[in-house]
Amino acid sequence: MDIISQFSDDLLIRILSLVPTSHALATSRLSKRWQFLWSLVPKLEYDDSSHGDDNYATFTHFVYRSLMSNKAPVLESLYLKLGHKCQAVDIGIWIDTAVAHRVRALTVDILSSEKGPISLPSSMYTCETLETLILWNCIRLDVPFSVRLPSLKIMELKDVDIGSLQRLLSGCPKLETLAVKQDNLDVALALPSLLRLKMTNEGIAPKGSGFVIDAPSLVRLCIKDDVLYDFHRIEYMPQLEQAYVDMTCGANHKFLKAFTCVRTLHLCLSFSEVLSPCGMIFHNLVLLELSTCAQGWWNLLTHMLQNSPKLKYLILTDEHELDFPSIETPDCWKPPISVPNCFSYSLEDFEWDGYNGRRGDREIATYLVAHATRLKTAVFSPADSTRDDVGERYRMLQDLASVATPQIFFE
Amino acid sequence: MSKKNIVLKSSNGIIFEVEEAVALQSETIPYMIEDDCANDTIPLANVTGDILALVIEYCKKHVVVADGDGGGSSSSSQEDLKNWDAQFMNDLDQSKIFNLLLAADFLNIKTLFDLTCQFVADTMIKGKSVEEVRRTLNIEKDYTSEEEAKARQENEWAFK
Repeated sequence: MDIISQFSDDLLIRILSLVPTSHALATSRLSKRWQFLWSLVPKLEYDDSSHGDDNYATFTHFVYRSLMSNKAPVLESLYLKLGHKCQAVDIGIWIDTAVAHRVRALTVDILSSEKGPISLPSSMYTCETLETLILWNCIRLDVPFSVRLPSLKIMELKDVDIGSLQRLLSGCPKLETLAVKQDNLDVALALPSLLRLKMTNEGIAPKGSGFVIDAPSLVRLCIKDDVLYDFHRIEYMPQLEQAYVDMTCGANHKFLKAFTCVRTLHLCLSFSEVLSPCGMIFHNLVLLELSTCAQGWWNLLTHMLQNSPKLKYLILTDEHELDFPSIETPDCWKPPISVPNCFSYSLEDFEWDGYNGRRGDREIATYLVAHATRLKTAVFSPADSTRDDVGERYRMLQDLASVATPQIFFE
Repeated sequence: MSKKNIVLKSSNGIIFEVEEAVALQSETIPYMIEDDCANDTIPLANVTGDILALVIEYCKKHVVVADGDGGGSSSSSQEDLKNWDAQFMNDLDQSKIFNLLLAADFLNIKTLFDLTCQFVADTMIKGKSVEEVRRTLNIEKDYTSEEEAKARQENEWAFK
C-alpha cells in the first residue's frame, strides 16, 4: 500500500480537516481506505463562491447532505462563506444542526444578501459549547434576552448590524478576546474577564455618543478610531502589556493615565488639553512607538520621555493607519526641563522613520542624540518627500553627525 | 542557566547530541528522560537518522527565535521564520515529508506537526481532481467498477 494510506485514521482525518469540505469529500473516491474518512472530519468549511448562480441549488444540497452525514463526535468548527443567493432559512437550519452537534467554533461571513442583513437563529445565542464566534458583514444580530454563551472565549464582529452589543456581551461571562469593527461604537463595555480587545471604528458618530471601556484584566488593547466622538473613557488597566492606540480626536489626561502599566505602546494621539506632568509614571514601559502624524506629537513625546524611566526602545514614525497626512511640524518644541531618567539609564535604541529634517525635527533629534548617554544606535530614515533629494539628505546627515557620539545610521 | 546536552539515537543507530532547549520542543522527550536515567542516550525507535536530522534542523531554527528578548523586531522574525518553514518544506521529497509528519506526531512537536499536515493538505489534496490526488499520492484504486459507480452515485450531489 502507498505510504499515506497506511497513516492512522486520526492522522488522515487531521489532514482532511485542513481542506474545504468539498475536497475532503472527493477523497472518498480514492480507494476503500478513504471511503468514509471524510464523514469523520470535525471541521466543515463551505464557500459558495465556487458555485455559479445557476447551480446554487447543488451547493445548498451539498451542504445539507454533508452536514447531516457528519459523524464526528464533536463538531469543532463550521465555516460558512456565502454570497447574495443565500437564504436565511437554510443558514438557520445549518447553524441549528451545528449547535445540535455541539459545535465549538462558528464563522459566518455573508458578503451580500438580496434581502438585506440576515438574522441568525436563536439557538446560536444559547449554544453551551460555542467557544469561538466570528460574524462578518451582512448579518443582523437580534440578540434575545435569554442570550447565554457560557463557553465563549473569542468573539469577532466585523461590519455586522449589531442590535445590542451590550446584551450580547452580558451573556458571555468567560469572554477573553473581543474584536469589533464597526461604523460607530456608541457603547459601554464592562468585561471583567476580557484579556484582549481590538476596536476599530469608522464613520460618523451622532452627537453625544462615545464609548466607555471597563476591562480591568486586559493584557492587550488595540484601538483604531476614526470617529469624532464626544467622549471616550477607559478605566485603569493594571495588567496591560501591549497597547496600540490610533485616534483621530483629542484624548485627555485621564485617558492616557489608564495605560500607565503598559510595556509596549504605540501612540497616535492628539490631546485636547495640556498634559499635566504629575501623577502619571509609565513604570513598565520598555518600547514606545510614537506617530508624528498627530497634532502636538512633540509635546506628547516630551511628556512620555519624562515619565517613562525604563524606556529602552524609542521609535518615531510617520506611518499611519488612518487617513490624514503627516504635516505636523514640531514648532516651538520645548526640551524637557531636566534630562529624562531613561536617557541616563535605559534608552538604547532610537529610530526615526520619516525624518523630515525641519528645524523642529532637528532640535528634537540633536537633543536626543546628545543627551541619551546609553544610546547604542540611532537610525534615521528620511521621509518620502526628501527621498530623491541627495543634497537635502546630505545636509540632514551632517546636522546629525555634528552631535553624534553613538552610532548613527542614515538610511 | 547552564546548557545541558541531550543525546538522541535514531532507529538506525545514528547519534545526535543537541542542546536541551532544542530537544524539549518535543513533548515526548521529557517523558523519556524521566523514564530513563538522565544522562543516558534516548533511543528513538521510530525515527531514522535522516529524518531525525531534519527534525533537529527544524527545532534548532525555532529555538533561536523563542529565545529572543522580544524587543521591537519580533514580528519580522516571525515573518522570516514563516519563509524559512516554507523553504524547508519545499526542499523535501514526498517520502521525507510523510516520514517527517510521522516523526513530528510521534515526538509531539506541535508546530512541526501542524506545518507538515498543512503542507500535505495544501500541496497534495486541496484543489486537485480525484485522479490528480490519486496520482500525486500514488494511491491504487481498489474499487471495482460497480463499487465505484455506486460510490459515485451516492455522492453525486457533491460532484457537479
